[in-house]
Amino acid sequence: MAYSDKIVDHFQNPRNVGSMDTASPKVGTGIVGAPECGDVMKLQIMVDDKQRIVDAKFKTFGCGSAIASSSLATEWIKGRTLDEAMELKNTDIVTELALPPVKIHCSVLAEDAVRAAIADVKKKMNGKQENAVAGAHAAAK
Amino acid sequence: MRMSPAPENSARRCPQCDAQLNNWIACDSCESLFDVDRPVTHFELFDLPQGFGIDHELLSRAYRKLARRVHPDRFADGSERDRELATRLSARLNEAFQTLRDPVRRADYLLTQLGGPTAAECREVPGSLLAEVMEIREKIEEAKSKGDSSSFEALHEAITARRDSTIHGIEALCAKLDGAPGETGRELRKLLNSMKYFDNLLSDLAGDPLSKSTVSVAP
Repeated sequence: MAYSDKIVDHFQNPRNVGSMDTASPKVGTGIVGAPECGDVMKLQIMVDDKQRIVDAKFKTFGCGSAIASSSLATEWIKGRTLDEAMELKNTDIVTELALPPVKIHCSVLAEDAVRAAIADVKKKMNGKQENAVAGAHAAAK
Repeated sequence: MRMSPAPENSARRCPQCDAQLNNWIACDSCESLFDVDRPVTHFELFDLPQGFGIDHELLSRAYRKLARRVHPDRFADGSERDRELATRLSARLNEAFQTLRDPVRRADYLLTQLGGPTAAECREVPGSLLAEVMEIREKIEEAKSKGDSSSFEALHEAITARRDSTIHGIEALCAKLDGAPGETGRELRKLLNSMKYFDNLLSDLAGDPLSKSTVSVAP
């Protein structure tokens, strides 16, 4: 099977490989997996006060297409707001990397990872607000 | 355990010689081969009751008997239909045997037979498995970069233990399967879904030359 130059490039020179502090309130972590192939993907985002993604990192243990998909996804979501990043579609990754049909699930995995990371950081932000409210209530009493 | 005998089986007769048929694919009397004329389960194929607990001795015996009947070598000089059928039936028999003899594949097959969920219908894994797998992956990476053989040893042991306990969990849930799988079926599928992760972790360890050398010096 012939792979596109873009897949090979992202596979050989993956962008944004690494980890961030999972415990940080500004960091959202998404860990997803594909049970049929056993691939696991961790994608993390760091947001600023305006909910803009200032940094993204990933670690993927899986096939070249899964690595390329997550590498591309981190590139794309950097600089976007959370709402904008939610618009990322796996089909965009498929088109950009010219993924073969059997590797489409790799792009789905990357999309799921982005969404999971966004959900995680949103949960943290909401929790913080609730804590702040709860704290305010406690202080009022 | 749900029993599913094949009552039609004993009443079926060979279209070639009219002898009573003892199985679904070949006549013991005139040695003709047949296409399976309705969807027959792997259990029915070997005339075993449908259920997780199987008699491995019976399974092997039934497999060997049928495999001899349909072996392509016997039909090398036969008609094109027979040669094609012998190849196809042999493949079907092998698939059925390999599925039933392996506890994980048998559990997967049984769950699907009983109505699922199938792997496509439920892609979940138990709770924190993915985070755990990611953590082990990172440890493997670290051990590889340091060339730390004792870590390899410990990781191999830990992953094997987790894999074994998952198989025990699969067996325990299968023993509870009765009729519609329901919530038990869902839990079972989650455990089945986690197997590929453990297998990949182990092959990642085994694929590393360092890990091979450390495994071989293990006591």
